[in-house]
Amino acid sequence: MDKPGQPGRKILSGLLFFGAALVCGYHAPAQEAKRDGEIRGRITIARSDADAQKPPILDRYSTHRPALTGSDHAVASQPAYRLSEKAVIYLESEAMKAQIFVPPSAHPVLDQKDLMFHPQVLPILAGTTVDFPNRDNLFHNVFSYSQPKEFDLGRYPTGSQKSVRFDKPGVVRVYCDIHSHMNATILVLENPYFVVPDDQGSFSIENVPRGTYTVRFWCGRELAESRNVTVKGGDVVEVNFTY
Amino acid sequence: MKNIVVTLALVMGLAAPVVSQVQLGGEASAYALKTSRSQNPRVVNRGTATFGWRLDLFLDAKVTDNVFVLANTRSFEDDPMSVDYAAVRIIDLAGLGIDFQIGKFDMPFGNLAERRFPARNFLYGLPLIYEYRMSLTNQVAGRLDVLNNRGKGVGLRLLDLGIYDIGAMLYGDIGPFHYAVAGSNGTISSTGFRQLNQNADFNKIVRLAFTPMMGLTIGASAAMGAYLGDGGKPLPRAETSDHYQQRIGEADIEFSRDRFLLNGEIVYSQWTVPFEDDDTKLSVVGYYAETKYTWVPRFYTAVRVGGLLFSKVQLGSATLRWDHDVFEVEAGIGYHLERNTLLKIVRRETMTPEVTGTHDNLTVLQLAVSF
Repeated sequence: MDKPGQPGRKILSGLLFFGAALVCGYHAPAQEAKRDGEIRGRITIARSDADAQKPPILDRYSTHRPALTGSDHAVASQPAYRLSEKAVIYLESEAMKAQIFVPPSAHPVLDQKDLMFHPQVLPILAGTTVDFPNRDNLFHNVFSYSQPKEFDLGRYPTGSQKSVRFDKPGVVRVYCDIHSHMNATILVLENPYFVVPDDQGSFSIENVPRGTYTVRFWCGRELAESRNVTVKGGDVVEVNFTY
Repeated sequence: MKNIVVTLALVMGLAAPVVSQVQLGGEASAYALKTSRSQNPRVVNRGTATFGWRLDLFLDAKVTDNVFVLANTRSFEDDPMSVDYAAVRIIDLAGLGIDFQIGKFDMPFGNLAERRFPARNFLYGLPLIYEYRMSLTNQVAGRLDVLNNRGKGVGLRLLDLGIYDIGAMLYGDIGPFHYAVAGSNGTISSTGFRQLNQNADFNKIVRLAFTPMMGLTIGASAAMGAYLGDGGKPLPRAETSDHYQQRIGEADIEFSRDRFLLNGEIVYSQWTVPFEDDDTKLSVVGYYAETKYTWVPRFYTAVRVGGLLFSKVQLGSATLRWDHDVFEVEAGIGYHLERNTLLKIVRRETMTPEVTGTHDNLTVLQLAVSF
């Protein structure tokens, strides 16, 4: 019987691994890096906060009831979204449409905080479940009438959350039934090749298989720009956007 | 109407360089409606089926971080457009944490809030106690006049539509508590929003509300003020019009959880009325409760019940209610065609048990859009 460190066991393990790799088409990380490419670039915001959230000027009905978040004061001073909360770069490819990608088991989060959704744009892979926690000390009522997923979560208190699974790719507009200025977009994507830029606008999508892609830049509530690129093995393709 | 539109346009244009933010919004609604034919005040267009429309415009301007100007206009069919709201609001007055509002606005009485507008209203129109016109007016009238006006819809409303009036208020929050004190030209049942003060008294209003847990707010309001206008028929005795007061109090509740919403209000009002022989106190209790449940996204059902119960007056040897008690039940279905577009169908039954054979109804299909 082999014991740990015995040469016979190592050889047997090596043969088994080699055989399995041949059957399953395994590629070592070094080979993967040679084959796949990277798409990176920078987003330059030229317009003056054009799609910044436009909150209501104040809560008109704070004259009649307690508004537990500081009412007028909180609503009147809402900040604009940072770039990392409102921009997404994602790839589309005809070749990938037929492929199946396993959604992550972790649930991305769309927060309700300070009478705003965070982030404003949430990219997910189709099949992913999103959590909607309420972190304000008042009710929100998250809902969507978008074709890929209609839902209405009703009202639930601070500290609790509800979850929704998004199976169909598409654009899901999310709102709060109580606070009409609150809006967010969930981009339900067909493949996992998407990324959120940092606040300076830099982004990088790594391990992109060789092929031709449409690179889409989504900002705020709209698709801002699209570019076609071809990734060859090991290439770094640079794509810059100005918005 | 043309003047108001021009004024709004001028305000928008002139305000732009002065204020840091201007926001224009509104609600439009159109409906097809049919009521039964009778003398009941709830009958619309004499019972003939009709189309109708309503437009509300909201203009908010942020002048500085603490100073705001708010305005609403409302128009129905071809009636002249009215300005419901035209007020200056100062938040955190002098750093004291107290907010202040002056001008024409909805008085802090009850919890109607944004449900007064069609796109936020589960059903059609306001609850009975905000719309039903009683037999008592804000003019000097005799006992027989009041009794003869029963069921004719010529007098005051218990809560005058949206209770818009001209005045000033201080309000604020202390933790889960909310307070408001206000003074206005008219009273809750006899608002003076289209005119300056009609007598030598201001209406005084106090409101307290408490939110013990998320989704539950309990409120209470009280108000008193002279309700008779000067300059009409002379008073029968040596008193002045400010002797004839309306005293009114209410309690309200707002509860919501998951897809269920409940709103309710109960109101008691008493008027000192200068009848020919004696000053008489007339009173009424009004109430309503309404619920809404969203079954699936886009689709809800709603029910509202409401009523008015009148006190009795002596006429010779007879004791009569000064108006007919009314009970109303309303049920509706709403469907959101889009996020801001709501289609409703509502059926309302109005019962006046004291008047034999009186059972009125309303059926309406309404499309409401907010923008």
